[in-house]
Amino acid sequence: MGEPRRPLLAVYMGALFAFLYLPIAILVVLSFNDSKLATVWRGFSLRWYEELFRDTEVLLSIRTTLVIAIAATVLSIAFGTLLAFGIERYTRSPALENGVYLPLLIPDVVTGIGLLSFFATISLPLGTTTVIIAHSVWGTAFAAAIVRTRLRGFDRSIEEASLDLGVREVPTFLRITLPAISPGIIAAALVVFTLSIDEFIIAYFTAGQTVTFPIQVYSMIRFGVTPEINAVATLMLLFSMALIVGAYLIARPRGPRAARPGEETE
Amino acid sequence: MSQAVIAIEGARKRFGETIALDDVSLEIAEGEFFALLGPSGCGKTTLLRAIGGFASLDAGRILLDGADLGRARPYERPVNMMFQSYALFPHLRVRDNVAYGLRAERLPRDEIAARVDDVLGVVGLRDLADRRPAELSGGQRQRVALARSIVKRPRVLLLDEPLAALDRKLRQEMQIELKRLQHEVGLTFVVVTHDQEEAMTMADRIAVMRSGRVLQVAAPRDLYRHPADRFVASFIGTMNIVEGVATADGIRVDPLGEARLQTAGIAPGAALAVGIRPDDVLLLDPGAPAPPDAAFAFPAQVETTVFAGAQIHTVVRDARGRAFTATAGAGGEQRREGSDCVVVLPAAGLVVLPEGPA
Repeated sequence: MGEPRRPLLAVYMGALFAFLYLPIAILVVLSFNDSKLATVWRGFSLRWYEELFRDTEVLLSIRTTLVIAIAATVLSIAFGTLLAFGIERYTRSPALENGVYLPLLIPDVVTGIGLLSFFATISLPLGTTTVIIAHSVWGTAFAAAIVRTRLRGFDRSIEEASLDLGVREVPTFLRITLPAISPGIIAAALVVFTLSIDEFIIAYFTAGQTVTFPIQVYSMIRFGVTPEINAVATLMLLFSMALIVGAYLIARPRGPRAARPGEETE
Repeated sequence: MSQAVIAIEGARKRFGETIALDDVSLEIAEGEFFALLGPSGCGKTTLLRAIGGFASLDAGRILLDGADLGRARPYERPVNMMFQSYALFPHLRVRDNVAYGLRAERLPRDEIAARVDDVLGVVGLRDLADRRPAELSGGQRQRVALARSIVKRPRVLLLDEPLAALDRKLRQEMQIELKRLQHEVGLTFVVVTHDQEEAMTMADRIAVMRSGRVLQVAAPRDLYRHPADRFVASFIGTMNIVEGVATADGIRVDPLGEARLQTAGIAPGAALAVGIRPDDVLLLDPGAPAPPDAAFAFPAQVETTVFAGAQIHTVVRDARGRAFTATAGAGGEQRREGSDCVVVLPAAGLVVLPEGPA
């Protein structure tokens, strides 16, 4: 390329990226450290990963978190998809529209306190159920937002075509509408799932005696950063990134020739 | 006319302040290629959607084979629609798009496969049966949409601007192709279009619509030769219009003179317009004697001439500033721009043009 070289700019960029990623890189490297001291390198080892998988408390918290994430995802997708249809097709009220997205903007601490007092008011004992409900609150908002972007570019004449070809409304929804927006639904599910898995603040308020994975990590860290924590973090990093990449691959338009119906490719 | 497949009786439809259909009555015959033609907003698409069951009427009836369709849902009507956007199912292969309507009828697997294969052959898409819509060109998608809508052998096929998304050359090919196909499958076609050339090329009969009303229903030739009013005259092709005053037995145009015409029902003294098609207008050299059938003959000056392959279009302007277009075969001489000539309007070419509804 004919652009002039700018050494200072390169240094600045390097420093910025180091700032962003160096801590994470160090964490990943140290998770393979043989030393008990988190800051001294003594050679490659997988012992912390082994220890992690023998730690029943950690394993239990992972199970709890997966149950919560799956349940919250299912609820969020069901409500969020219906909500997206409702806003997109049956209302023109901006207040209603923005009301749906508001939970995304409310600070987690506020949501946490609010839900805590709400559960106390209705005397719902804190535990896995209350965390599921809490995560479904913003999960639904997220799902509605994501599914709706898919609905906005949706050509409704394909639903009419299905009716026209002899298929009733409900089967039309299942066979035509749902498959057409399924990339949006799957992407929304992955996002909600990922967010639920590492959500700490709201869970901390609403979990009661239940220990979710992030809460478990938090209690471990209070006794200092051990290499085991580094191993946990590394695994979470891998898992989250896999989900995000998966969401991206599903949500992006398929192939270079992909086009929406009605558009010309010529 | 043979038994009407579709009969529309006094159809009315309003969207808020807009009147989409204003007392429309029509009959469409078995096996006919029928076009609803008009500018956008004239109500033609509303009428088509009402036949398909996608829009309800405020008043009036739509009869199919003599039976009132009432509020029957789209899936309860033996008519199919080809949508302007084609409305192909993006997640289904071409084959499954076409089979979709047959599967809804729960036909045997073998029969579905055979009919899909058959119709894909008719539209020339057998080789692309396993593609998805996104992998097809615009013209190919159009054929899939067509195949999908004829495979159920509907009593009537509704086509909403079927060629609008194609480029000009492909559109002209497909006009002929659609007409051939309609003969081949023997279905009744009702097509909505805003393109008069398209309607003239394809349709057996055309209903010209404006502001929710049907102004005229006629075969293309009759529409061209005998337009019912001024709007139809200028919407279908080019029409030279001469304004004058009705006399007892014709029209008086100052200062050109008088001509005898059939002007039944128009009071003498009332304003009257007559039209003449460019191909009926004659241009003669100055001083040449006017032919005996000339209703009007007057001098003018050639403004522009356009050589358009098969034809030469000449625009002339008379002393009072009125422009006329004359079209002659390419064999004729091309007049020099700025030269003088005599414009002859033969009586046989003149058509009386009422104002028509606003």
